[in-house]
Amino acid sequence: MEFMKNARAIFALVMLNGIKPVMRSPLWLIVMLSYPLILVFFINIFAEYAVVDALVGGLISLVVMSGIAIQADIVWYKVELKFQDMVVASPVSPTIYMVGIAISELVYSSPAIALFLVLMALKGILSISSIPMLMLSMLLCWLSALSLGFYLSTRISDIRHIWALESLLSIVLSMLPPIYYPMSLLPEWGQIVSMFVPTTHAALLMKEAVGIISLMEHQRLMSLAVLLIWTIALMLLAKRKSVWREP
Amino acid sequence: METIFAERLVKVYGNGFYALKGITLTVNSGTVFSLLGRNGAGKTTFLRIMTTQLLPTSGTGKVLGYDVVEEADEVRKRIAVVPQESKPMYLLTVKEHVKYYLMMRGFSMLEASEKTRKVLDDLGLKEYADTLCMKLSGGLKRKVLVAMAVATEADVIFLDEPTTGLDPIARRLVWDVINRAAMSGRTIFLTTHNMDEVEAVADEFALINDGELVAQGYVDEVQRMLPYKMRAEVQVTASSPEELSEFGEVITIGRRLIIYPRDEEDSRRLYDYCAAKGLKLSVSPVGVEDVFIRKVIAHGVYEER
Repeated sequence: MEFMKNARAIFALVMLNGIKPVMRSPLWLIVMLSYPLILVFFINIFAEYAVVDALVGGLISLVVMSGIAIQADIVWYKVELKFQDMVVASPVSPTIYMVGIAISELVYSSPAIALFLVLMALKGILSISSIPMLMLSMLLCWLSALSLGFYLSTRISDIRHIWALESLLSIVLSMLPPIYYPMSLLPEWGQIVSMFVPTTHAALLMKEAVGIISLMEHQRLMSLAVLLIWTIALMLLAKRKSVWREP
Repeated sequence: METIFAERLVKVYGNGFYALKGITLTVNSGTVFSLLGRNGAGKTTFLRIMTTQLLPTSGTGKVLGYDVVEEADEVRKRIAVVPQESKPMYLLTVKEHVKYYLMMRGFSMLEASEKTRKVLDDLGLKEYADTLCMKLSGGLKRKVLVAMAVATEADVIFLDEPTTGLDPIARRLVWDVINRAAMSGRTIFLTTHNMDEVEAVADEFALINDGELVAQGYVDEVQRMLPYKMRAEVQVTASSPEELSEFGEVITIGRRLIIYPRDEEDSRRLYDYCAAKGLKLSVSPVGVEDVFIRKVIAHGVYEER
């Protein structure tokens, strides 16, 4: 019974924040797609050898953007529309609210994700065996980004700060680390610094899965562990430190 | 039966500001109760505590017998709230707002569709059912939000300044919705700084000022709360308070002079005085505004915020 209620709540949130707005303003689908696609386009022109890295990077970038985007929507609902106040004073739990809004963000990014998978298949780097690791890495990246986005959204009440933060996080998580380009292009200190960023590890795992690079067993386990630790830590942060009811 | 109960409710914000200074208040079921006060008086803080959005610093708050701190989940199942200055989502239709809000609260799609149809019918929103909310007027937008709350069939509906910023026609649209919702027997708690609103929709009201309750009573019995039965009003430019004080208590509010004649004789003399001087005079029975004037403004605690 409770499961059905939660499922309905998530469905309703996906409809009101995802499907219906996308149907009425499909321009957002293009906006979501354009940022990683433009990078892939230029990398293809200036460094064709790295275009397969860029396709993996595009996928990571899309799931990270999709996760982080939750903060702008939540702050919009909280500060501008006051819709979140209606949700807080209702039987909907913060977890269900977060899941519903998070899935609705995927409505915007899923066509772009599908396109990138098609491009990877056309480049011959997507195989059935690579899909589980791709999916796992993308899922962990998404969960990390959306947990961070949700936590920040409950702490920040100015939509302008959120816009700035969203851009900054996007750069830190999906532009600077070696996800669009090979890690070997970074100097040694840069490689060390990038190991502290979860998306670096997702990129390593995904690039190995599609056969661009090869990792030693311990490197693969370390990347998986770091990504997992980041995900769990950020989910705990969202669960325990997010402000739902104001103190 | 008590639907809303608060006892010595205190809220101190992080900056040390006392928003509520020990409010004790009871709202009976099936009434439309209005918490009246100027901006910053503590109305929204009180409402946010009772709707489980904000934690009190001390004191007790209960809705339908459930503690708003300890049993927030039970409270949340039974209430619906329309926050101050809330807006609908621009890219959703009126029907979608109500339907998806109901589904969020756990109703099945069939139930939600049925209740949506009924509430839009009842509240005169049927013709706008498929209109995007971005195309609605301010009054209709607010009406949609109230419809969302009403459709939940919650036992208690909280409305935080539901008509602030609306023009007189839009305000009446919202009052109409509140009155219709009240007919279903549910308890409606609304905050406002608008005296007309209290008289138009509320059965009972309380006046809050600087975090303290300064008056409470039934709207129909407001005359019992005041020592005078009638009030008269002249423009301040037309006369001076000193001249008029011989006819009763005089209070100046901006460009208005409010005179409370002590008895019929004072009223008659005031009328003669104004007639002789050619002053425009309007006389009416005392109302909610007079409670506000006497309890807040006349005690010198009013300052523009």
